[in-house]
Amino acid sequence: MAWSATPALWRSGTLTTAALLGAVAAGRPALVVLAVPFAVLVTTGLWHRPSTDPQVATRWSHRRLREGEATTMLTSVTSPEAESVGLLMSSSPYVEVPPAQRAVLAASDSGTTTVLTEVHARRWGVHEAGGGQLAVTSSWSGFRWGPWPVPSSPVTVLPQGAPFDASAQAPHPVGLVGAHRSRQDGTGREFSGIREFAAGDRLRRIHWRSSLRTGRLQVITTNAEQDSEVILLVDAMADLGPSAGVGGEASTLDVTVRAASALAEHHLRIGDRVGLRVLGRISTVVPARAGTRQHRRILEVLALIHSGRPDHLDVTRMHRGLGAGAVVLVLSPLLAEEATAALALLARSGLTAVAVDTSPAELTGPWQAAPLSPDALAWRIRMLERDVQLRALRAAGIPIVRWRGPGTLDEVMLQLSRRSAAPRAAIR
Amino acid sequence: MTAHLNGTWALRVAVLVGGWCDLAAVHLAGGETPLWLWATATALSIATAARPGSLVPLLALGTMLAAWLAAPDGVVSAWVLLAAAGVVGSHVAALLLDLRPPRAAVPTPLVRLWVRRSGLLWLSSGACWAAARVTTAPTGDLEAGVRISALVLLGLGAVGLSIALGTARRPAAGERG
Repeated sequence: MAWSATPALWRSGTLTTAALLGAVAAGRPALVVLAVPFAVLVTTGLWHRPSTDPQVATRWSHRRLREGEATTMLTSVTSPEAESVGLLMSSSPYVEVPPAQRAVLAASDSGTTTVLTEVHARRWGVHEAGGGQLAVTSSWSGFRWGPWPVPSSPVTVLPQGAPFDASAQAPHPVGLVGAHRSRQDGTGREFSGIREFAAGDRLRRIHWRSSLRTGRLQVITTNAEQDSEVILLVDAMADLGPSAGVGGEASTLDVTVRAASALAEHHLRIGDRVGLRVLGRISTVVPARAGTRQHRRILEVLALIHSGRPDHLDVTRMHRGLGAGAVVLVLSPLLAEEATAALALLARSGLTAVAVDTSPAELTGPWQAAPLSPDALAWRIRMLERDVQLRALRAAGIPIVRWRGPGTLDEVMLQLSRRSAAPRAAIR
Repeated sequence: MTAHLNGTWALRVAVLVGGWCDLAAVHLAGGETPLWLWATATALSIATAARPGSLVPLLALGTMLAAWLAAPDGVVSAWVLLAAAGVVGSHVAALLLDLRPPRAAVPTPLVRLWVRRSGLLWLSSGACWAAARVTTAPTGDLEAGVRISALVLLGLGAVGLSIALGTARRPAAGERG
């Protein structure tokens, strides 16, 4: 890209020539007086003709952020000959640039001009942001460099966790340490009972009041505290409904991803091991682990989700690699047959599977405008089929709860804890 | 947003008023300014304000200069200074409107810089006008063509003077303006 003369320079040159010729030809000295300013502009513009190309660099304050957060892009233009820098930024629905900063003209008062642009993340995912066009004008507006395309950069927007909290215990706590009360006694804090002292008991567990009353040494027993393995199975095979970003309308995949983020955050906070499996165009598996690093890893995988059906999906192998006591939370709008099939097979294999229905109460779409159109009829037939499938799943003992944020899983987890005490058959 | 609108509207108004100043000066100098000329100049000024990067500003300013062909022969009226102010104002306003990306505001330091420069440009016109008053005074012997050629040379001298005095001070690296 090279510097080229501005329309103002061409205009000044043409007017100077025309006015001087007209003055001489028609004998109008007033035209010379009027031509002088344009002659000055032409001369000064040419005098300050730039010799080197500007150096453009962009820098981001953060390239990884959560939904609803903002980052800043710094565009630096280094050119000793620049007098002004114009920047026109592109904006997309999910990576927004405030209207006042989409088009900026900055005066260059030194060798380097810096333009700061805010970028607001509206929806989870990996988005291209910061693209635009840039133009640099030389002193006296004689020459212009550009428009130069400012390349966009990928910005990873991690899903915002929906509000979530749960008070129910996990049905099968199996680990060594955690926040869930085990059925076995151990060194926890939850009171279990009082029994007679036995060899190996710690002296600090002796309950002196009972010992005095019975005349024999009595000790307090407590429940062990264990962690649980929670697997989040995210159905990303379809994305229905409009998505307006954080604070706006949410599509089925928006609800699913934000619910998965909230569940992962909750269970990791209480010490559980959390894993993630994504059923989508690109199937991903994140093994169950605990800790804050695992939380970040899960969020990053969730941000990479693209809706679509996988080329090959074998739901019969879905339970492989899952621990016996794992709780599988299937987050799905339950519209894809593969998702309902996976749910049924997971339950049959003896795992505790819970379906979290992430479809909105009423799906909106183009079919609503024309209720008798083929699309609308197809949709109604699909919803009737879905009702039949959900009834069959419930009949098979698979709990289905609609995602509603805090307390979504309390009741179902309580029921599963009670049920887990009873013997049951499993096919593996 | 309001400041942005005010800023750009001020520049658009400057384009329009500049054209009117030029025609008013022609009229006051004794030239003919028919209604169609006012209408054409106004229409071209409005188009200039809307499309400052196109060829329309050239046509608008060309019309303003051509209007002086209707002025009386050989007279350099003082009203030409009003016309110079109008033409410079109109051109600089169009230049600033063309500098900015669509819907962007023009920063105040840049407007201030160009106001200073406009003053210098007008002064160069003033210097040339003063020289023209001297050279176009009736001397009896000099032919009109010779006198105007001398005026062109004087004008070029004024250009040189403006370059020497009219370059904006460039702050040193790291210094904020």
